[in-house]
Amino acid sequence: MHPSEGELQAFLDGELPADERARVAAHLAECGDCRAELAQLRAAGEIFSAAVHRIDTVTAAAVTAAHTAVLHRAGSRRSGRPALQILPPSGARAVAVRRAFLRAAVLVLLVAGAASAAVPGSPIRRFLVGLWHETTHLFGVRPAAPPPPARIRVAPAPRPAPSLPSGVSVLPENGRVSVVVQGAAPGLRVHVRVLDTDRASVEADGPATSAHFRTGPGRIEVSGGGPGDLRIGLPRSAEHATVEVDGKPVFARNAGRSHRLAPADTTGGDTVFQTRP
Amino acid sequence: MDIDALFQTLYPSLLRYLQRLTGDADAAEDIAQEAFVRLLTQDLPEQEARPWLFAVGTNLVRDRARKQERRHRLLQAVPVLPSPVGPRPDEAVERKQEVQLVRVALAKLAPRDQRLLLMREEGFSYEEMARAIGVAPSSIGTLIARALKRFVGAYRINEAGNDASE
Repeated sequence: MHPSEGELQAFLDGELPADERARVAAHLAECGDCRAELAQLRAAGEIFSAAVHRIDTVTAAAVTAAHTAVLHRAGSRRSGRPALQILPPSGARAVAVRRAFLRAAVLVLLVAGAASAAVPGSPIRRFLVGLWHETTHLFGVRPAAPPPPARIRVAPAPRPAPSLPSGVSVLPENGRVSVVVQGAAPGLRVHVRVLDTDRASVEADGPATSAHFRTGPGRIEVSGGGPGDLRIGLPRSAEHATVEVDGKPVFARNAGRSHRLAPADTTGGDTVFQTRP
Repeated sequence: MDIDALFQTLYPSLLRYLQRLTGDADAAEDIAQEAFVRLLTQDLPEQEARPWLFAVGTNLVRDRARKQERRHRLLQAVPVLPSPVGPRPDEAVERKQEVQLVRVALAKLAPRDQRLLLMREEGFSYEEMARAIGVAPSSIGTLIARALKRFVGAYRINEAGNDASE
């Protein structure tokens, strides 16, 4: 009996239990129609993957900035600390008590300050100002910083960019791996080589070492960087591997065959794509 | 739970999923941040954070579309590709056309099918996808296969129409 299209799809996605997988594999070895159906499903998946990669706009810089923005948004909204926030448990109670004292002191000062505000330079006002300083000193807390804006859009991150690794590598995810280069500098040389390893890797040389790297399941993202060399290694064993530069696929490897999708040179076994200088 | 590590692991995937789902880079960013802010108030086992985030993100997309009655506009919107050097005008036009082809083909799918295919791209298992959309895991393969064929059909028709008009 022929496997259903759902079973073939699950076979492709590695989602069949071992016994069913063996049964489908045995059937495929004998049935040309089902092999054709499987090839059609595989091709459809590859077309979909390539298509949605074309509409991606996620950049490493946006992710870094969003991290800060999320923490600000969480801080401006919560009344207590978030459940997942990491604080030393032994110090949390003391912090809460100090904050409660400080809030009470501030409330008293505000009421009294309002009453004395009508008399500029009054001794009460001077006393209250002095008391404020003394209180904050006593509890070891600096005067509160102005609250962050309630809605923070992604802006240049106040934190320095993550330090640069010399290279990164990932394992394919379900036989698939992709390397995405965004914001490539003019003149950047992207070397692609198929290797007998089980991991995809990216290494930067020269000015390209200022690039930022991000990894996800079966995916490496490289952003920024100067006009040096990026050396990309793709595992020969991956069923599907792609390299994309600024939204355009330049190299693909499917079912054991490599395909150049953009003009390239060959140097010492590397396929080399160069961005316009 | 290490929030920084969790963010670095999950946020790019969530943002990519939402951008693909909405076609609106700003809305996707806003929703992804909101989902993460809400995650910070939850007490979840780490392995449940990812499906939780994607479910909340999807619901926020749906709410936004419903409230503002602009789902159609979101699906048609063309995101701007950030680039340190601006593309040449002909490249920009070409890219806009490419993006439009993909968005129109995606919009031809039912919301459930869009979600399935995009979750599959982010490496979700059939079990996780089944829980997310409320169907049996055994039906996921069939749903994905049919959705992929539908997408490719729509994509090729649009592509052919685009080539003919050039």
